[in-house]
Amino acid sequence: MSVGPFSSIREMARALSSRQVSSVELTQMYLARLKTIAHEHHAVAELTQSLALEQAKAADASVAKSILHGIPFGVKDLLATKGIPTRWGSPGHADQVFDHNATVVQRLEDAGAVLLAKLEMIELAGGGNYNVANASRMGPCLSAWDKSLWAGGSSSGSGASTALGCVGFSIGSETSGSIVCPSAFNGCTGFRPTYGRVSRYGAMALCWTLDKLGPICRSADDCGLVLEAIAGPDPHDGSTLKEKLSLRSRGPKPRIGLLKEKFKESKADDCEKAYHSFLDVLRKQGYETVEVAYPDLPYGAAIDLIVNAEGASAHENFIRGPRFQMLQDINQVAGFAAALEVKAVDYLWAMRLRSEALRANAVWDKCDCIFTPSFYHRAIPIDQPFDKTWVNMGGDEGPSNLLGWPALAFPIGFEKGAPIGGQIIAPALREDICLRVAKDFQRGSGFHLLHPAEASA
Amino acid sequence: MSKQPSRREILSAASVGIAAAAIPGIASARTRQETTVTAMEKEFAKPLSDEAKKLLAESLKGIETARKDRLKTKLPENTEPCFTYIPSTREVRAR
Repeated sequence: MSVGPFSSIREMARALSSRQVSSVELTQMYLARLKTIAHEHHAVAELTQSLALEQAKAADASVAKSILHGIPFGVKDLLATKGIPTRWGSPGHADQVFDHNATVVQRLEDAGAVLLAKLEMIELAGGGNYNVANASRMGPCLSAWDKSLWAGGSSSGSGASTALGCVGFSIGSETSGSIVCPSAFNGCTGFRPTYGRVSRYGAMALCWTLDKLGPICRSADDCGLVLEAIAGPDPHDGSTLKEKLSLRSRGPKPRIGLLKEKFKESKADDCEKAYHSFLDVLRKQGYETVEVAYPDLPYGAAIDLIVNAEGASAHENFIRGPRFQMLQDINQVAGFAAALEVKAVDYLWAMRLRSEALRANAVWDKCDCIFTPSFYHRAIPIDQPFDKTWVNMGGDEGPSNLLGWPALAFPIGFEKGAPIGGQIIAPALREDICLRVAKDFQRGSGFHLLHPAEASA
Repeated sequence: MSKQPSRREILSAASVGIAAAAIPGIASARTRQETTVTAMEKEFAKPLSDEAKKLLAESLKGIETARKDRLKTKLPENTEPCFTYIPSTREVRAR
């Protein structure tokens, strides 16, 4: 076989179209890896083996419908798949089966891609303030690079499986950090698109006004190809945008905005080094940088209130029902229950602050995108609660999720053998800028081409 | 959502509150949260474990703190939230 588990989508598509490899062969290769490597990392919620082999055979027997034709993928287990369990990572939803596909799943199927597996996630996307890596039906999802570290959340299995070369690409979701975090902790490239760019129909709702679906891949180029296949208006989701996605960015190099970082206070020497190396790579290609700052507003507090209020409403039947205490992490029981007590006036304050936060768009007068570390450190260990280990991690504390801005996260270096990530944030609807900068960086560096030794053997 | 504490709970809370008056602030706040936990538990299908009750009381305290904190950011008068209702002839909004 001319391609391997870490091949790019373009490499696989070329090999498929020239008949050097069949979709069935690719599917069998990934299924074998999912059953062993990904399983050992607690990254798989449900294998869809018979469906995958059926889809792969059909792909081999038909003319290519798109560049994703015949390419095997996995989806976060919060996406509905017709007739296949969709458990939302939650023991209390173990027998949940939908009779329809999520729009994203259907679009990928229509593009000829092959669904290999539902990938594990933090239960109910962690909306109840989970405090342990074990907040998942299959146990703690382990980082692709080090089994003593967490794979991140809530799209844990998507991040780990992709980094381990167990799927061609995967789909994750983000309310506030759930694509960026597993991308950083596993060394993946993940694309959180503009809010409304990708239909949420058939996806578990945590937060109707914040939830986004996006690809988690092994390169920025792969992310762009997958995003093109899943983006676009959907009559089933009234929040989808009508604006057409164009990932072709032309003209002068985008100017990169830099926020005031706290490397020293956060004891983040390795991250600081990686951050400057990233800038060196891009400056050599003609990129310019400028210091920027957001208006000083409590963005995080607004997000917390919105997640609490919308999450409690979305899951109220479950919270008040007999299976609620089956949640794996007791902190989630407390968090979801307490969220029922958020007042309407608190929620509306957050939604008014969100209008006020639009002032942050002024930052785009000075720059075309912003670069910031995804986190200051590598993944945290699985054996202790997060309130003990999530220290000096930093992360995007700005308005990007609140305002639905896109971000592309990718590996920029290593700390003690595990990856650390950075992200390019762009104005709403400007995914093309994120992609251009990340692709230029990945052309000039090789972090996205490094793979965990265990999975490469 | 009905979460009014019963008269018994209010009276019970008041008596504990009197006893806890020697520790102002924290003691009375905890009492209010514990009362809320008791009232909430009745609305759940199954009783909460002791550990869950303890954590729920702490989470409720966190929500109260968030409420106090948010009041430090005064929003301009007459501003609107970031959503508006869109009239539709459809029976149900799509989802």
